Amino acid sequence: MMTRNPARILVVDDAPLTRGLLEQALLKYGYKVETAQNGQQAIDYFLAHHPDLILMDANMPVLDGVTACARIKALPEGKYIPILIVTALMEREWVDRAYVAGAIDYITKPVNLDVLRNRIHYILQAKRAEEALFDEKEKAQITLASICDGVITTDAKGLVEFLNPVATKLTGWTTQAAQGLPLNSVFCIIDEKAQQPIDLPMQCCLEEGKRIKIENPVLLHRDRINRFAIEDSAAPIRDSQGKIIGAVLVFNDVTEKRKMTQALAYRATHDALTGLYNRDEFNLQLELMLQTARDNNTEQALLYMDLDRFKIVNDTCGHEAGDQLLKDVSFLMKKKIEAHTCFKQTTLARLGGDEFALLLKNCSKQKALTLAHHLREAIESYRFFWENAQNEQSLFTIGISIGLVPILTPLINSKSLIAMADAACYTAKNKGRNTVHIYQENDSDASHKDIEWVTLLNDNLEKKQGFHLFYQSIIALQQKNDFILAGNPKRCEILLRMKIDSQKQLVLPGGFLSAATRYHLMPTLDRWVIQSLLVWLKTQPKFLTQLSLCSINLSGYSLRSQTFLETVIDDIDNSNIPANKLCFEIQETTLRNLTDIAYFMNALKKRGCRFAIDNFGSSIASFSVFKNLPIDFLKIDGRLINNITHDPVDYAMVKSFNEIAHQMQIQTIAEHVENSITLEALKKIGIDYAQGYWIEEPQALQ
Amino acid sequence: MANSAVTPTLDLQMLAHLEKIIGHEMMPFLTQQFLEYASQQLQALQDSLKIDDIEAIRQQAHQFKGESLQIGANQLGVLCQQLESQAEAGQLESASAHLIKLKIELLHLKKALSQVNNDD
Repeated sequence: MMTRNPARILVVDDAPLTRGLLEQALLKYGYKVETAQNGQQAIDYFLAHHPDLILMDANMPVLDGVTACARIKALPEGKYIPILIVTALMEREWVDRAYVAGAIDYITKPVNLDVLRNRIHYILQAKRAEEALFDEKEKAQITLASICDGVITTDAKGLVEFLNPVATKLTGWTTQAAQGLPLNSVFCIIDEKAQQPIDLPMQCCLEEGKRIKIENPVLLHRDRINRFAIEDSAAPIRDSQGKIIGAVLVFNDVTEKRKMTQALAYRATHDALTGLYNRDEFNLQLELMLQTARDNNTEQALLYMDLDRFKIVNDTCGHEAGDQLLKDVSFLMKKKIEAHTCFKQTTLARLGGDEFALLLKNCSKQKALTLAHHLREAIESYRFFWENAQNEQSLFTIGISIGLVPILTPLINSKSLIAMADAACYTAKNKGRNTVHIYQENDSDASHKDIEWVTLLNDNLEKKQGFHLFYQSIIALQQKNDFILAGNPKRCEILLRMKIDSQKQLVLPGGFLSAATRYHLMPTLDRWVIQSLLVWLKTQPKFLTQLSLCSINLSGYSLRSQTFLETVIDDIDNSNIPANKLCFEIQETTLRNLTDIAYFMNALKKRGCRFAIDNFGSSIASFSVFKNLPIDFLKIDGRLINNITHDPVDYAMVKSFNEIAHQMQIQTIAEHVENSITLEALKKIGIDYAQGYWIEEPQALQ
Repeated sequence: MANSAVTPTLDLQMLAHLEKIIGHEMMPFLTQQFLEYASQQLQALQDSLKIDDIEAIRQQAHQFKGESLQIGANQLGVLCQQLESQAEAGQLESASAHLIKLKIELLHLKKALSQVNNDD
């Protein structure tokens, strides 16, 4: 009958014959049976052995069965034991008392053993089902207690039913205390930004059956001290028919995670030394301000500030002193700005070195000027005291040059705005330092010409046809150089031109390069050239096959930029253009800080790219630096080339450059060749390649 | 004695029911066990009556009734029930006479049981 361990049944009867009969019968049915003769023995046996069921006579001497039943049921471990009372047919009052005592059922004497068998079977089956259910519930509760998330369940009205230990820890409420209370009085949350209490929209969950999740950062508010950053979601609980019978809310403590995110966000937007905003964040704030200003038509102001005599501190006392000074100055400026309570929204940033910028929102020119003067006076009267490790003491006074730009028209772009502020600051410095200069459109200073260029460059970088690429052929002067490659190999230099809408002619780089250099636009321009060239080459498979060398100019700023190097490598790798067809030209004048340059060159050299030194002989003309750099070509400066036919010294120089270069396995290129006499002289000297207007004028890339 | 007229000495159906459950071979042991119990219980009742222990008589009669009915000795059960009721009411005037009725009924039962066993 039973597949599992047989159930253990305790038979309690004072009558020996009946007791024996019941025992015999139950053994036959497959149960394990123990016997007792009265109620007291039954209690003792129950405590010692915990049988699965008790079959007990009602009317017994010493302790009757109904009293014993009541006593067992009152025990903690007796709560779930089924007790079946046996009573004579006429003893109706015993039956009522038996139920009151907690008996599960009764059976009459004389016992019909078939009836007994069925009744015991069903009682035990129900008990097992109940136990299984209890196990499930216990398992679910243990699971809920073990998980790291806080869990709260409610009934269909949104009243709390259960909290797991994590929920108790975070809310401070136990299940007992919280049961029956509305969820929002147990689970109190506030919006972290607004610091306002908010309610979970439980109706949404309970009435519409929607899952809910609060997207804004929220804090679980337990009391004044205990607040936890949490993430939470609530979902309806449905019964097997799909009817909503409650809700389950799951939340977890993300205090640490949120702290980390906040710390990272802080680091990304602030200057590590001074704690002021950094350049990136300042640029972002400026962009945002321009956007809102466009909508609101309000006045703003931008201050660009550069410390005077900072370099003296740095040079005489070291960087440690310099850093301390920057920290002190930052603190001083912050205090001064805060003291002007009329400025509600300010962004003070350190842009780098000893340069600072201040953005004043909703601020008139006059108010900005007053603040600028206060800042200048504060810095002027500040004394920086420094004592070094040798106890030598120094006292410094510094100053600050401030350029002020009132932003009246928000239609201007942020880069031009910074350039204007920088220019105004530059003027302030030129006016004798420690002054404030307000930017004016018609300032005659040369730097304002640059601003026009910067504005143009930025505008053109965003346009599709803002810039154009040209190429100029480089020809081989010595026959042997062309025998190496079959066919008619093409070599050329890529040149950049800028379009100005008002002019018919394109602008040569000479016009805009100094502005682009001064306002850090060179890496952007260089990258534009490389990307555009690679795109064009891809569309010209025939040209690409013939191409042996394509030379591209690079600025010294690009060479020192790690991000530039990474993007160029990516661009080349993604283009599938053979890297050995690309040659980068580097100005002789930028050959300082060789470690950075060598790193840049070696990284691209590994991919097959080649390098040329441009305008060699225009300045120091030192060959010694070449020993440490992987150089393939030497481009001899155009002014020297043009002089070789009439200046014997220049002729001798070009000749010796060529000889030394060849000794170093470097090939030579003559640029700016403007007539046939020069070309013939170059051939005679042994120069490998030449380019110039006499050979070919630059052509637009079609 | 209207009841005795309709109550049989031995309920054969009950006996058959028991036999089905505990097995035919166990039946002689069961009847033997009952007869021994019955004579012991009868003696115990006589002893209690001598010392006028009403509560003991009630309990002994109650148990005797249950055991009798359980093996189908229905008339014996009825007699025990009457004795139990008398004891509950505290009326033991006719108890001695009742015990004699019990003794006689026990003899009837012995006879009936031996007939059942001999039928095999």
